[in-house]
Amino acid sequence: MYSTNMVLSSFTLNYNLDMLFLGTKEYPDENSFEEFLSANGGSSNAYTASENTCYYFTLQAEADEKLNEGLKRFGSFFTSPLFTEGATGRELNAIESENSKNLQTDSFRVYQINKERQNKDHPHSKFFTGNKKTLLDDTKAKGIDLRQSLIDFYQKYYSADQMTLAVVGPQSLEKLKSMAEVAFSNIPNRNAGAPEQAWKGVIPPYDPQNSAIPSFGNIVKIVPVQDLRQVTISWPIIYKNEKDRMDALLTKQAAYVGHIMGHEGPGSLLSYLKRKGWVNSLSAGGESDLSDFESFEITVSLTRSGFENVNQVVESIFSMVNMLRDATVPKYIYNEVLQLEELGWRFSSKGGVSNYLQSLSTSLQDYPPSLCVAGPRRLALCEDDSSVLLASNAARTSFDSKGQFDYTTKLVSDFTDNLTVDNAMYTILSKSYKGQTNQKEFWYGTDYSVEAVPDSTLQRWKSPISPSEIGLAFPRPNVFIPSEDGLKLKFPTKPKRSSRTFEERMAAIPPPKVIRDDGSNGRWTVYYKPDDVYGQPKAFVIFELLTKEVYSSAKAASLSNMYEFCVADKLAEYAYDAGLAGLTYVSANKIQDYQILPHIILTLFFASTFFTGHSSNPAWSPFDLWWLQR
Amino acid sequence: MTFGGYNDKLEDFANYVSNQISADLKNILPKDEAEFDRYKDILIRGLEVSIFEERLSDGCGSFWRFSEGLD
Repeated sequence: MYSTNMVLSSFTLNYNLDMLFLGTKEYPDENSFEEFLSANGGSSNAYTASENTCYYFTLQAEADEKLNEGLKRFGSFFTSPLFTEGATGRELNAIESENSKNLQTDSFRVYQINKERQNKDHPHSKFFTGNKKTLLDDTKAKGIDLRQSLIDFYQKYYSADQMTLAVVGPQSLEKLKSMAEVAFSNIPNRNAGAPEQAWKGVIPPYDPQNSAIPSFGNIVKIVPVQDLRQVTISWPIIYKNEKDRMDALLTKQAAYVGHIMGHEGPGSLLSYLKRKGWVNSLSAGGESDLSDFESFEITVSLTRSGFENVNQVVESIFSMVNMLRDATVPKYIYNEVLQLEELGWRFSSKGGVSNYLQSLSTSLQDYPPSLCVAGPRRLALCEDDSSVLLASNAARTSFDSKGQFDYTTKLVSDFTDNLTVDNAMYTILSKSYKGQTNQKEFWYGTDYSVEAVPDSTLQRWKSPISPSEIGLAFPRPNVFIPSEDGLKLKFPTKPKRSSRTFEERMAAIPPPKVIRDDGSNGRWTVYYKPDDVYGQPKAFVIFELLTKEVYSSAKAASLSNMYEFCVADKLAEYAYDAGLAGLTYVSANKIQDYQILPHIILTLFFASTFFTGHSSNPAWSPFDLWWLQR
Repeated sequence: MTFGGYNDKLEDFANYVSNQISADLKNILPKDEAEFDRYKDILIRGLEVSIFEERLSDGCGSFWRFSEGLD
């Protein structure tokens, strides 16, 4: 996988992305790469984010020669792409098609409006996907040769000094390194330099005097395509220098603030707003996609009553922000955020290779190479050196020193200072604005209007109701964070797939053992299947309650759905802390005249002492048999 | 119903949730009309989103069929 660092461009970037995969000097056939990959169980794709374009492919790489050829073919896209005239029309249609799909997608529409609240001169304010107008009509009108401008773009920005590469394969490191050198060493180094140097710290991302849509002190009211009803408050947080940015990437102060603002337990902002009947859900978190600023955003899904009282909803958000700013955040909250992040790091389940590749090559653009794995995944604690982050088995459950703690709390405090009424952008989405707006966004045709927030409302938000008056409090200690005392991590007994022969891999999987059988008229038959692959201290328990009633009528199906909402809503406060600590539950459908069919998968030493249901004679469905045979 | 997670707290967690669902049904169901309306609103809007997304995917399909026809 390759990530390349480029400046933002509204018209050539996506086009370049698509065209690069269509034929090279060594492999001129447009479909050659895709045919090679599909013959070897693989695929390729690419995407463009705000500052990076990422290309990647996967294939069955156990045979050295296949991986070697795949890398060579992939490398040739970055040394000798053809950009043939013939592919131009087809790619334009593909881009136009993608844009057509986006036109009806609210996330794209709102994203573009938010961009237009930025400084017009900042590259991030531009239309970001391109379409037939930007690529064909506008270039024609300006007398621009599209293919030539594509080549110019490639020759300017596709330079080795701006590219990062990640390769994941079963071969030894030495072998992978050697293959990569052969495949990629011919990529020219044009000494392009980081494109963001041209604007980072030079062009302010927000300039109230120079934006298409007013940014601060205004509410943008948008008519959504879907029946959304929500309010979002977004705060841009500008980096003063590179150290600010690295602090945000490594210490991740947004994670602490998001943990508190977005908490869903007793005393939380969401708990209060739900009690008032104003909201259905709330999310809070940061996004750091750019070199010069990040955003922190709170989005609340409103009920009808919440929509009518939206000013009070916003006021309560500022009440919570004030509490965060004025009261001392308990130390256990910092420790818990650290512990939860560490759990995610130390016991993360193995994911897909494609996502792992993408994360590695893009994090190499932002982090020092030694931190490309741990940097985005662990919280840094102002360690003296990066070796702490790199020590994969060192469990960190609290801050090592007062200095570390003070440094983190200072960063969190500075971060919170940005969350002010005057630095906020307010956006409300509701179908009820239809016919009441007076502006149309150019690229997506989004209907919207901009209204200045009245001074009296701004003042109310600046001096909001006291947190204690509405029952806001910091999250309580999380009792679900697992203890590692007495942890018996059983390591996998099955050898790795790559070290097993074909015959061994094809051997039948042993069926689960019956560890309890109450007989044909008894209550339970319990099956046990120990984990012999992953070696994680985790367990799963699955119940299936079979009934024909749930889908016996449209009304029954709707009521079943509603029952799911009821369960999720009523258990939300209790289950939220558990969810943070990695404990999850999913419940679906209403139990009526039922058969109960317990499917139990237990790993390690988990005991089945809580089963309280009653079973009639179970009958195995095809799904049951399939499940047990897995 | 599925439970999953780290072992040592899973039993307590599953006990609580399964008891709430099986034994404390009254606590789960909407306590008044306002709450029922709130759930109904979520359900109806969720269904509208599903219908919209289905239509959108049909629309994309139509585009590609149209494009293929042009080729």
